[in-house]
Amino acid sequence: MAWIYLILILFVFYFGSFIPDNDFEFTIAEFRLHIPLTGSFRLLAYGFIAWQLLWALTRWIEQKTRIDIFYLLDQKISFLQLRRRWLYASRPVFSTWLAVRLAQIGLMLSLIKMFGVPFLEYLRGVAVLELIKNVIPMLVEAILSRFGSAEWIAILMSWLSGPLTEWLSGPVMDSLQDAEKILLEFKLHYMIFFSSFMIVYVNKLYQKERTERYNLDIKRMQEKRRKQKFFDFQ
Amino acid sequence: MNSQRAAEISTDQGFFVLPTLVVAWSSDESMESLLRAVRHRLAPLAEIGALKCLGPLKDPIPTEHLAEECQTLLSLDLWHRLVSQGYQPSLPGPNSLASLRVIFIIDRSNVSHNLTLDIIEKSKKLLARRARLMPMLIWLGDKPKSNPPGLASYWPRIRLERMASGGMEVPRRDMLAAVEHLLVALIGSNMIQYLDEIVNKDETKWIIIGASALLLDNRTEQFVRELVLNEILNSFVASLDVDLDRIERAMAERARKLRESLLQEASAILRESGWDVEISGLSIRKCVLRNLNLLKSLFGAYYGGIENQRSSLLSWNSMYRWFLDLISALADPFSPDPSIEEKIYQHYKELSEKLERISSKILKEYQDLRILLGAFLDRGLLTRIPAGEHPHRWFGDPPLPSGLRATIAALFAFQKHLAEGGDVEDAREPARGSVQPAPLSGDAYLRAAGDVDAQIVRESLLRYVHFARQLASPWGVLLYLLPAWPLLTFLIQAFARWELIPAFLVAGLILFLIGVVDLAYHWLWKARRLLHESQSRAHRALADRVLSLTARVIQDYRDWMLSRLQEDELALEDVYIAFLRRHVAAEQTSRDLNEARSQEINLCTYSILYKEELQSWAKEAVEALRQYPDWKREFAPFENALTARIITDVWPLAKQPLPGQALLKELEAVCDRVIRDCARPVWHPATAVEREVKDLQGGKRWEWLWQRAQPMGSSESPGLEFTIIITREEFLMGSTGKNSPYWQPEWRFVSSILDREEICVRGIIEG
Repeated sequence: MAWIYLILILFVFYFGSFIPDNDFEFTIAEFRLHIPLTGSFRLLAYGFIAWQLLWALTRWIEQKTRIDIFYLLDQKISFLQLRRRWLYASRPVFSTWLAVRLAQIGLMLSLIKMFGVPFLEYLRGVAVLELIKNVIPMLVEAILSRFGSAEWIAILMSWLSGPLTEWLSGPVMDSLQDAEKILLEFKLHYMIFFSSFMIVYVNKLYQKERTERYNLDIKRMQEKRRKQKFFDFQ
Repeated sequence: MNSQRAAEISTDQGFFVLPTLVVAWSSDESMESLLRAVRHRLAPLAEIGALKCLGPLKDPIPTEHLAEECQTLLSLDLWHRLVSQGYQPSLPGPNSLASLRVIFIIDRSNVSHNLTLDIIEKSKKLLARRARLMPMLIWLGDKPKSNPPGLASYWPRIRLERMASGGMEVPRRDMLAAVEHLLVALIGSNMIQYLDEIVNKDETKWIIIGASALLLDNRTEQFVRELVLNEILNSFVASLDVDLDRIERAMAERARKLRESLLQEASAILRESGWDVEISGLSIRKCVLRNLNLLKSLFGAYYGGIENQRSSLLSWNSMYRWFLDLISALADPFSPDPSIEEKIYQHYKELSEKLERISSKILKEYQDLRILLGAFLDRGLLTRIPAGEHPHRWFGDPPLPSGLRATIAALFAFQKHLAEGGDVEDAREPARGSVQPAPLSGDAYLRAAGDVDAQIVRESLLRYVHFARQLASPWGVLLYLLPAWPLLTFLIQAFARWELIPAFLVAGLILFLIGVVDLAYHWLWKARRLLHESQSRAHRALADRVLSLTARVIQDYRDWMLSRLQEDELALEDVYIAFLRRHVAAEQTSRDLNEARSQEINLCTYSILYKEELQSWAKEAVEALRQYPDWKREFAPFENALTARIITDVWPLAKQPLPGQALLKELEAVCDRVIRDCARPVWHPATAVEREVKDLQGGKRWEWLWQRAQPMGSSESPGLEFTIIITREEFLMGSTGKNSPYWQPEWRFVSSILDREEICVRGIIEG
């Protein structure tokens, strides 16, 4: 049922425009505070809670009533053969795992988008500047004090203080700026993070559920045969 | 009385023959050889049982004994034979008694007992209601001083004494020779009728007789027989001095053809049992089950793994049905019901029973092989054997050697090639070697094989069941793909910057295509291949079993044939040894012929050897023997009847083969018969004398006969003298017959059944 509830939640959230999906914003003394990504996390939280409630409720009902819902479904709509042709089926592998693979890609993209811009800003504003201003001169001094007046020292010194510093302050800084710009311009729908996370997470629980149901089915079958043998013996 | 009348009517040959009993009463052992010689000279009568000899007896014979001996000659069957041979015009009438001749030889020269001749009167009384006895008396020795009691009952009463007319003493050996000629004349001619005409019975007491004869040498038949046997056996015992490789090659080819024909017969039976079989030589190219009932029981409605069904998909309707069957078989794997063990067992059982029909084929092949091997004995047969039956080399190259040695070599080579190698080669993909025959063929084995193969079918099909159990349906794939739909939509939007609706639709289309392709690949490609593989594996087990059962039956019958051929080889070797020994003996006798010649063997007998004609007679007899109809009856195409006889009785299927010695004995008997039937009519001393014996040419033989038939005895009251010449009428014609100056006009000719001798009987009637 984990997968079916996932489909349900995804499509409800996809088409449901009533669900709040904006980031948290606070206005304190006319100062407007905007917390980024909180919209996605809010959506994720709503979706996750809704799915967890549905799944837990279903499992609780199944435990209480000792009814296997798929067993019932197969009896009512037998042509679908849900258990045989979906729940326990592991082939075709590509189609079965396509949603999970896409979700992993989506999750990775979301994380890159989330943490990429601050990271690039840090590199451009702090790390590279620190490298040019402090680290390279310190490195030059250390080498000089240690190796003295070796011939190759002069060559290295000239390269460190010349081309390397120019390359870091020129092309590298430009590339970092361009990447940050690209990332800022790359628009990812807020649903991607939600969908991807849900699919990856639910898939794990779904696989567990499949195994449990399969084992339960086998136990049920064994019980049935045992009873059959007992009655035959009687 | 009717029988007497019947007997008096002359047959076409001019005389009649009555059943005759000769009773010799003598203590001289040479009398036995005399009787044997008489039987030999009158062989046609002796063989049909019309002549019986008793004696020589030393003691008087009891009347009852004589009557019993007479009764053996009173057989209706004997009379039938006499009539059928032309010796009698008809059977005795219903109210008349059969006539019976009893010739009593009383050798008084060595017997000193008192003699009573009334035995015949007593016998007449005993047989009064059954036969009319006609007793005759030949008295050897001096005339009795007083007539013994009962003498009058005998007619004629003939006497031969040691003292011939004119006072010359006759050696006993010659006297016995004269008696022999006289007996032959009495029994084999109508001399009695002539005596009845010229002699007054009442006034005659004794007739003094002398007899001489010109005989064909009694070794003539033996010489001819040996010549014939030499000629006949020569081709059979010919030495084998040419290359054996050609025989080997020819028989190897024949053995291969035999194996192929057995496999062809088996494949026809397999087709009849629902297996589509293609063979090429000894190789099985294809062996596919076509029995629909069994196919459906084992594999369900779809069995594409067993056979490519595309050829049958000619219409849309059939394609549609095929596709439905395929989808159904893929989605709902077929599981055979528990009865397939029984069905497979029944199928194997029926097949094994049908395969037993190969026995008729192997019998036919065995018969054909006998004829083919017979061609080694009978070269003339080759032109009549259908072209496919003998190796083509036989006409291109010089002929293969013939004779028993060659036949045995061919038989041995055939056995060797038949015993080597397998019967069935498996040329199906993947290529394999020869098919191993099933270890057993009994009912228990077939049942066990049915169980094992049913298990293999189940296990093979279960592999697919395990695979198909993991395959999702389109609904299942849809459920898996649905979560990817919004995700893919947003990803497309992110990268392609499309509007929501087109991105949503394109994402849906992409997922739909992925799902369809993935499903099609797994269901229609992978699952179908696995199903085909499973069915093929199961079917392979069944086909292998069927082929092994087939190989078993073929091997069994091939072994049966090998055992027969081994027996045949032994029988042929037995015949070869017997023939070889006989051939060596025949060659020796043929050499003896060169030293033999015509000669007087005693005073009154001239033995004539017709050497000049022996070879031509032998040639005629050889031809007659080669065409002997009783032997050629079954195998008319053989030129030599002996070949047919060997094929028929040395290689019989249902009985013990005829041993070589028995075959040889039969050959000699047939040889004698053929010589007598074919060559004997032209044998006569009259013609032989004219060519072989200068002293007797131009009719001089009449003079010789007359002189040597001097009546043996002297009479106190001599009466009429007579001379009877017993020969065939045609030899009285011409200048060497009655027109010869040596022929006396008062001589009388009487005809006889004798065709190998001329006899002259001279007599003096004593009143």
